[in-house]
Amino acid sequence: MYRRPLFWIWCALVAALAFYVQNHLIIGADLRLFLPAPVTRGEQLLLEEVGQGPASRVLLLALSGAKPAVLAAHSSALTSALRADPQFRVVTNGESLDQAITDDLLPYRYLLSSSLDGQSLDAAPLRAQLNARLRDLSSPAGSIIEPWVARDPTLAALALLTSWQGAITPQTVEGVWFNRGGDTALLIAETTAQGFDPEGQQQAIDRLQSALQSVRTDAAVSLTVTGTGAFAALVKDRAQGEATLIGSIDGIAMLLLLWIAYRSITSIIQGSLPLVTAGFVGLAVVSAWFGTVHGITLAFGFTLIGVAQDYPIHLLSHQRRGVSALQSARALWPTLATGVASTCIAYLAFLFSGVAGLAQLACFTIAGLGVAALCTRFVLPRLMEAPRIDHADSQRLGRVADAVLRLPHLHWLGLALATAALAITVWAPGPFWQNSLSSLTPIPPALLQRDDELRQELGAANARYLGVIEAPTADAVLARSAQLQGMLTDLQARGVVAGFVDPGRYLPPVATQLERRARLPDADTLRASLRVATRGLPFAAGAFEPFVADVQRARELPPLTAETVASTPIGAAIGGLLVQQRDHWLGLITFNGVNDGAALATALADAGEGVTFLDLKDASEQLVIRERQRILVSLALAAVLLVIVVAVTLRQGRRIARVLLPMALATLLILAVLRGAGVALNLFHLIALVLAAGLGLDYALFFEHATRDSRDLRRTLHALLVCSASTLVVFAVLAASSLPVLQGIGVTVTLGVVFNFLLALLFARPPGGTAAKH
Amino acid sequence: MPTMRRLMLLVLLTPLPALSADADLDGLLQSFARPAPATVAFSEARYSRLLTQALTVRGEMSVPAAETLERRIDSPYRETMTITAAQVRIDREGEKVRVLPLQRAPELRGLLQAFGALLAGDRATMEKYFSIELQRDGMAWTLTLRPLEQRVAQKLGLLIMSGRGAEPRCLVMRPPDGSADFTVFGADGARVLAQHATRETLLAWCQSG
Repeated sequence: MYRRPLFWIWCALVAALAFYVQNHLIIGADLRLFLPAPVTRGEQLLLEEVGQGPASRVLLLALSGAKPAVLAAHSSALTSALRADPQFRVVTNGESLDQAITDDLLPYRYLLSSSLDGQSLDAAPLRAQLNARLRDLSSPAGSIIEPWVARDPTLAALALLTSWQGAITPQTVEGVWFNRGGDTALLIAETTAQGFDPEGQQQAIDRLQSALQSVRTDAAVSLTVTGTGAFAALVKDRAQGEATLIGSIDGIAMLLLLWIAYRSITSIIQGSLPLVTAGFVGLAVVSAWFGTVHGITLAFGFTLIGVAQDYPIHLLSHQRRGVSALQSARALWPTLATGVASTCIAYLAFLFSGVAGLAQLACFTIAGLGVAALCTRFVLPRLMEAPRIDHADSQRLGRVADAVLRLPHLHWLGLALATAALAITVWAPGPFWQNSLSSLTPIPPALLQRDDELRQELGAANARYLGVIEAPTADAVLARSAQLQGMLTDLQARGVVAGFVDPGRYLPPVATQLERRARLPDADTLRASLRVATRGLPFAAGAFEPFVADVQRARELPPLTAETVASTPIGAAIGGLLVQQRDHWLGLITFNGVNDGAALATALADAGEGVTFLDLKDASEQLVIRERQRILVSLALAAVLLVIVVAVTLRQGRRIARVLLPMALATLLILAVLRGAGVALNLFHLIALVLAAGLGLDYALFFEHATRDSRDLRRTLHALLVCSASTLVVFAVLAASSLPVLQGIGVTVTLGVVFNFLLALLFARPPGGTAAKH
Repeated sequence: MPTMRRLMLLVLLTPLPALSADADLDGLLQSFARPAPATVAFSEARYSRLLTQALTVRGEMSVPAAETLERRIDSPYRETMTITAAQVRIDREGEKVRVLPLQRAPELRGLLQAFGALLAGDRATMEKYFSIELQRDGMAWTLTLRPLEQRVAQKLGLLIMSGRGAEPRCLVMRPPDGSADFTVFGADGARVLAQHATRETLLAWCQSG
């Protein structure tokens, strides 16, 4: 009679937990949670977000589908619409560079440009310049430069603009960048969100599309966005879409299976309570302990605690007429508890792996599995009605059970399988481990190709290589950057890189600006020089007064610094390249068109103190390798703990062997199949292997326990068939996923269920078919 | 503008059919398709508000290869400017050789693209870049080219070619900023410039046909 209130109390508790989780859970997307502590300077920089660098925040935009004039108008409108948007550090389409030297910045050309470093503004060099300008004026480009000649006869602004441009600049149509074919307008957007922050990137992309929508005058104009961030968002989107689909299919399949097995809606609802409770308890514990939970922790955590669905299934299948559910639960408990305890203790190893994400995963799983087991033992039986059916009555199960008991003990088969599997695992061709992170996030080839095209057209920065300058102040970074100019220019001349962008390109250090300022003549001196310089030349009197005025203004200008340029177009250009850390500054050098990564590495390695060469691919692979080593150590430790728990519980050597050997053999077989199929293993395969081993342990424990009694064996068979069938369905659907991560887990666990079930069936029974004696 | 000179050059080097009353623009444009090489003398006067007098130069233009225009100045200084679809190379006496990419000079580049169409006598493609107007007054003719691209038009203004019978004589560029640029073709170009010392008289001469 107390069943109904108990049920509602339980539901209320779960709801309360859900409420707590809702209010306290913060889901993080910081991948660094899943990476071990950095060792080298390069890894440190990689993890200090710098490594994600400006290149990864760059989105490449392509507008196509209409006439060039229409596209150009959209390009301009889009750029102005996004100019002050907080989601973008800068959006350029070729216009803003020409506008970069705004009127108030124009006098600064004499402080910023190196064009006057080699010469003064005395009469003789001025006359040479003015003569050249006369000839320029009579050239076909005369009308283009004429407006500049009066204000800037030495063409310092032109020199500055030229130095700001990368080596590759796209052609300009209607004043904005276009591709070579002239049918696509090109833009570059640098987001404020990090490249590997898929949510931030998705918001930025959504903003781009909505901005286009708001300025759109032609429905045919379409926007393509590529770049690291776009890919991150795409992968997340696809993963979410696919996960939702898989989740729905799994849910329906699971319900169908439970219906076939138990024909009772009450049983299904009650049977799902331990898993639901486990999920919320896991979430609550992790968010209470760690504060922020990584999205990956959640995804894998729920995969791992899915095993908890097996616990109520065991209880439901083991019901006997005339025996209360509580008694059945009590009888099952030693076996169930051994399985749960050993799995949980094995996960303890991850808790101390030194990788925060794995520790969260372990905490979530241990809490979840523990709670699910305790619920199954102490709460669920009190809800269950007296059983109406006993699965031991099933004729069909009886025949299967008898067949199982008649199975021969094929120890030689186990040995042969083990040997073959080991041989395949060791000698199969192909790499054992997958070190590349990018292979886990597949991008459609067409999009990758588009990205490559756009990158080449725009001369956009290479996302793999980065130079990092470290110095105590921003100005010191700029000074160091200026010192490196020669070396970098040399690299460009040698064809090692097609181009480079460094902070010094945009802003010289204060000392240099002061030197240049000190060399500028006063108005009278300059006018006198001009009088001498223009003698005999057909320039109108006072033609160069705008020039004199600009030089005078430059003489009074305070030097520009990283802070004072912050709100100017120079600031937009330099912002991503100068990064303030807690106690020092970083300057980033990006490259485009890298032809010789090794030569680049050598040159930067020789650049001296405070300069680090960063190969992001290499550094991330090193991290992946070290992370895997940590996981492998944890796994080994987990295996040892598991053996100890099983040994302590079962005590007899033969029984221990009957439980552990099938699981070990199944793990080996999974490895052999994966290796034989040419699969390079990644982190997710490893986690899936642990999950499969946990399942195998349960199967073996129950088989080992059940074979003492024929009727009990039927119930155990029923339970294990339902368990393995449901797990199989869930992970077989996952194996059909197009996402390598999900597919890897799906394939591994599917294999694990099949192997573990069959091997437990074959090898977990005590010898001699003891059940026949009962 | 170099393309315009090239265009002009081609017009010059082409024995233009006598523009009979029924000769239309198609016929004129189609007759432009010519093989390289070829050479023509030119004289040029440029007026600017920065200057107290016009800058005049004299030299020769040639088409040494397809899609290439060489503009050589012989007086008052020596300079060879080679213009291709991608870049301009300037080799001026007493200065370092300069190579300027054309990517960032749309007004030059657009014209060069149009030039390809002109070579092929492809009026349709030409008209993607210009609106073209042909006027005739007896033997005299005037071809007015107006860039379609707004920004190009802003910098370039109108391009007016004029000639008489089979003989083109003048290319006038009139940017909106008030400066003016006259190119007179033929060996007597220098004499014509000397005789017409102001832009007004020069313009009148060009328009007189």
